[in-house]
Amino acid sequence: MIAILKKELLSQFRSKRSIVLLILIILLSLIAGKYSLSLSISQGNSSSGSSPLFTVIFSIYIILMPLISAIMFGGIVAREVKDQSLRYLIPIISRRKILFSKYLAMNIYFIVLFFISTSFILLLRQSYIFPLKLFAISIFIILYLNAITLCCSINLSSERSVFLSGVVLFIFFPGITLWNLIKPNIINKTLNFVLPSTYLDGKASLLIIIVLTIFIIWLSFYNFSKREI
Amino acid sequence: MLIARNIKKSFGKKRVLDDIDITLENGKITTIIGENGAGKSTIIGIISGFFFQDTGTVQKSTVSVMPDADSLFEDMTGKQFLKYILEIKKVDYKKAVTMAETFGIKKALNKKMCEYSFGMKKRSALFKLI
Ligand SMILES: Nc1ncnc2c1ncn2[C@@H]1O[C@H](COP(=O)(O)OP(=O)(O)O)[C@@H](O)[C@H]1O
Ligand SMILES: [Mg+2]
Repeated sequence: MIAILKKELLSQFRSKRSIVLLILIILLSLIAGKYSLSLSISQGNSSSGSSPLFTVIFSIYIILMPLISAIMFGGIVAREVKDQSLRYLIPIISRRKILFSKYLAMNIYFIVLFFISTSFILLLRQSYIFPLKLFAISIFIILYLNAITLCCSINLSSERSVFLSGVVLFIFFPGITLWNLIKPNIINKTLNFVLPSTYLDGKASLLIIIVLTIFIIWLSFYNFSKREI
Repeated sequence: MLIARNIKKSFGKKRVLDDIDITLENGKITTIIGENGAGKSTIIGIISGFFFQDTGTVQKSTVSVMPDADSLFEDMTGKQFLKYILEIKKVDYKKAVTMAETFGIKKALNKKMCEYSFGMKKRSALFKLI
């Protein structure tokens, strides 16, 4: 299991897109850290460490994440099913372990990115109050969004369609928020519970996103156990 | 020892395997012969766990397979691939490298596998089994 986890993480961190993403994130963090010094946005509730600056930054990341997760990990199962390289693993390790290692790798990858970005901003601002609460909530959102990507990668036949579903979610999530603002009704109020931003803003219990995540993971494992390769 | 009993398998409406029984003994070479599309790969796929039979049972211990397809983890070098598989199988890497010499693939271990010729890929895949 650790071998698969290691391989997925290494090949991801070494990939060209990952390097591009890392550069973008560091740039964004630099800009945020630097310019917020002169803006009122940097002052906030410093006792809990959740300054408005971090709220803004994390919101941006969470909005982008369905897209980035699909770009980075869309092929995590779909590609290996398609080129049949999974056939080397299936006889020697259980499907459950394969999937679990891959899912873990996805989550570690994003948690590390969030951590890098946060550290950069803190360093630049010479502030050492870590936005713990925001970071913790973000971890649940990362688990949730990666579960969706994983589920798509199992059920769709190509990396490309997983990417497209990422694009759809990337538009769908803010779309619901907008719809809610313009004309609130029972449908979009219910749909609010699937939006990551709802949880980042603390507008709903984390328990709901945890249940959603568990359901999606269960669905992924179930479908993968039935998938012919 | 591998025992498969009453294996039936259809792809969609097409019945590919109809009540197949196979017994394979350890240490014996057994061949499955049949024309193209007869279902040889399908039965091997079921034994390996790639496909699921509609009915029937397979009793087996560990099975090593050299997949049919011309597929390896293309972006890994031979060495990375080998280490990866060995780590999962919990086999010592040094022992494997000595064996790689016998197979004549030792030199190629540092190359990316997408540069391998078909024969090289097959040799690596076969090597991985042992
Ligand atoms: N994944 C699949 N989906 C649908 N049909 C398949 C699939 N795999 C094999 N078949 C069909 O099953 C039959 C047996 O195929 P196969 O086991 O590959 O034959 P072979 O004996 O040549 O290895 C063929 O007619 C093939 O078209
Ligand atoms: Mg065949």
